[in-house]
Amino acid sequence: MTQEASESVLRIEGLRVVIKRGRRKNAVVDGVDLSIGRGEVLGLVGESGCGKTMTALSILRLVPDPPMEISSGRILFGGRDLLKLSASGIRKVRGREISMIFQEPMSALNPVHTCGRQVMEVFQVHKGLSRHHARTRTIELFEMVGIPAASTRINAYPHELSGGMLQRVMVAMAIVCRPPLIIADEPTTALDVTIQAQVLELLVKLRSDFGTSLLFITHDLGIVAQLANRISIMYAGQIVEEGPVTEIFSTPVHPYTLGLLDSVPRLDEIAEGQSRLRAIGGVAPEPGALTTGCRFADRCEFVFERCRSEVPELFTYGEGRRTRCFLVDEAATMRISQEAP
Amino acid sequence: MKRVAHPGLVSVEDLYVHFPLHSAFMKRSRDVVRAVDGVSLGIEPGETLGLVGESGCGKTTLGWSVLKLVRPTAGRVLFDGTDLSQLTGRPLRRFRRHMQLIFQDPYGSLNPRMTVYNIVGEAMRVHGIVKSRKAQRERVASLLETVGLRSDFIYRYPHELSGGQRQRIGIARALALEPRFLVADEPLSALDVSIQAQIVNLMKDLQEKLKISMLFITHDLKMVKFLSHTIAVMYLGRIVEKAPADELFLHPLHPYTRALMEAIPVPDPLSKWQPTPLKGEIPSPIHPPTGCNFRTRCPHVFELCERADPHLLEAKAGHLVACHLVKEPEEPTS
Repeated sequence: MTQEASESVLRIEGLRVVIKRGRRKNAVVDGVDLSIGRGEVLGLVGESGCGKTMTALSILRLVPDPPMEISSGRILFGGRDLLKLSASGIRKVRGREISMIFQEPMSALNPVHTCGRQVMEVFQVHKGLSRHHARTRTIELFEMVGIPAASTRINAYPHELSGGMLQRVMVAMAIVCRPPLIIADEPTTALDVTIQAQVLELLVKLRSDFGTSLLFITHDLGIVAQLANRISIMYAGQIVEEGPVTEIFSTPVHPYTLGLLDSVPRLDEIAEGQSRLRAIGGVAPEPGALTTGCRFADRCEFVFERCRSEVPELFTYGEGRRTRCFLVDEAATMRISQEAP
Repeated sequence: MKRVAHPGLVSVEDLYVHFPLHSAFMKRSRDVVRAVDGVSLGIEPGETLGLVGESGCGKTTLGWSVLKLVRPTAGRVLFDGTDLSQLTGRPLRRFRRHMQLIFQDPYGSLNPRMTVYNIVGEAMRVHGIVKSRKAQRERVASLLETVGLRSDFIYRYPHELSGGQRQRIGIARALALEPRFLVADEPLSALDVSIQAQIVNLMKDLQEKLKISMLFITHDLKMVKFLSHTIAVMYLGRIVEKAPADELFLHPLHPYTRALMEAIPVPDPLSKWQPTPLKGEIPSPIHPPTGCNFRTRCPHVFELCERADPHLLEAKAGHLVACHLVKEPEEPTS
């Protein structure tokens, strides 16, 4: 069940990303540990501003610097620390060993080049193919990701294609080198539901065809439930809960996870006359907000004194699960004290 | 075509909104964007009508034209029996106080240079509801409490507020004139999930307490089911299905409605989600397909769909659908 460290494709240890504001440095990602196993889909879930995109961008060292900066941590991939690579070293990793699908295909593609040329470029740079070969391969790839009339569409400029088609172009670009890891940052958020279903189907197919590992960043719990093997839930720059997808959905432990699951009404479960959704009150703290204790304490319905004074660590809970909540620790303590005579 | 009479507070009758395209400098081409293409709807007092559709289907244009913020090409909008298209100037403005709009973008829809006091209170002053600063301050403060904000927010500027708080201000502004009808145009889509739930609860409470009629425009089927009494599904400028909320979700009849529902990933790893994705994409509203405009993507398309345009007919009591597969009242198949 649990992925052994040796099997993992990528391991992030103690990643910290700060935003510099004058002399102050506020952490937007604050000590994140993650690992992705071979062929695994890890869903990284969180709301806007929780640091999930910055975590993903750090992997390819694409964090906008300034104002952001990766201040500490290690990102281990293929026996190397990506944070220690030279500029040309990391450039060789980008697109070849790890590729990324961005949230907004309309702004991620260059508007003054044709879609085909932008995909061909990857073939030419990373695979050293000639223009002619790159073109043939690009057409094949376009057909594979389901772009109709591929041989004419490679001459289309991004503004001539719809959002769904552009996202397919992005997917095609990401799989040129068959990388062991693809990072998808909210790839379907900008798309309509019927188009989203098409793109998700494509990603599922790619994963089963190539065995690519996928880091899937989203705020949509429905997508995670259907696509991911494991989930990490982020809140205010930290991972607050992590575990296999079936277990997180069946027995969520962290109150934030509970709240997230409750805030989304299910089509088949909205009881007739149900009057309210269970919402989480309040808002998430800003990066750099002075908090003593648990960052979720102000919004938590189970808050008690210890949450205000101590900072919870990620407690291990059951098989392959970790939770940043004192309730788990208290429960464990109680169990031990009960077992002791 | 069997017409369905729409009494009620708001009644939209055979509404068309076509935007002309400009092909070249100073020249008008004959092509038009058929944003709204023959829509009839009625909203009862105290009813929430959910309007669902994908981007570009014309749902926002429909919402705006109901408020006469967009001029319809043809058709009528009756508000409490008065034809809005005949009104201009002062009489129209008098009607405006009964119909308000909640915007999609809580960042762009609040003036960054005005305080909450002015944002919420401006319309009260314009319509002469408050006569003094003191009265305005009191009413704004009580509105803030209604939408769940502390009354000391009154002298804050929008940049000091979070997205959810801004959307609450937008709702307070819409309620300032005690309207009888609200159009909420995607009020949730710019917000995070946990904040969405807060705003949905607020809207539901207010709607029940104040008995306002509401047109709730969204692409989110989950929220629309939660908030609406009746739901209309829109595709390419037309209503393809309309039914009471529970009925629509239990027995969706139109293939498009079914596809929309199937396309939503189920937030449960144990239930296998196997959507049959619709082929292709929404056709251009400039040259919509002949016959049934959904036929290019429909999994059940047959020869009649190309020839004839299906009308919105009552398949069973209160359940309207525009599809050749559903001809007479019949038992639901699912």
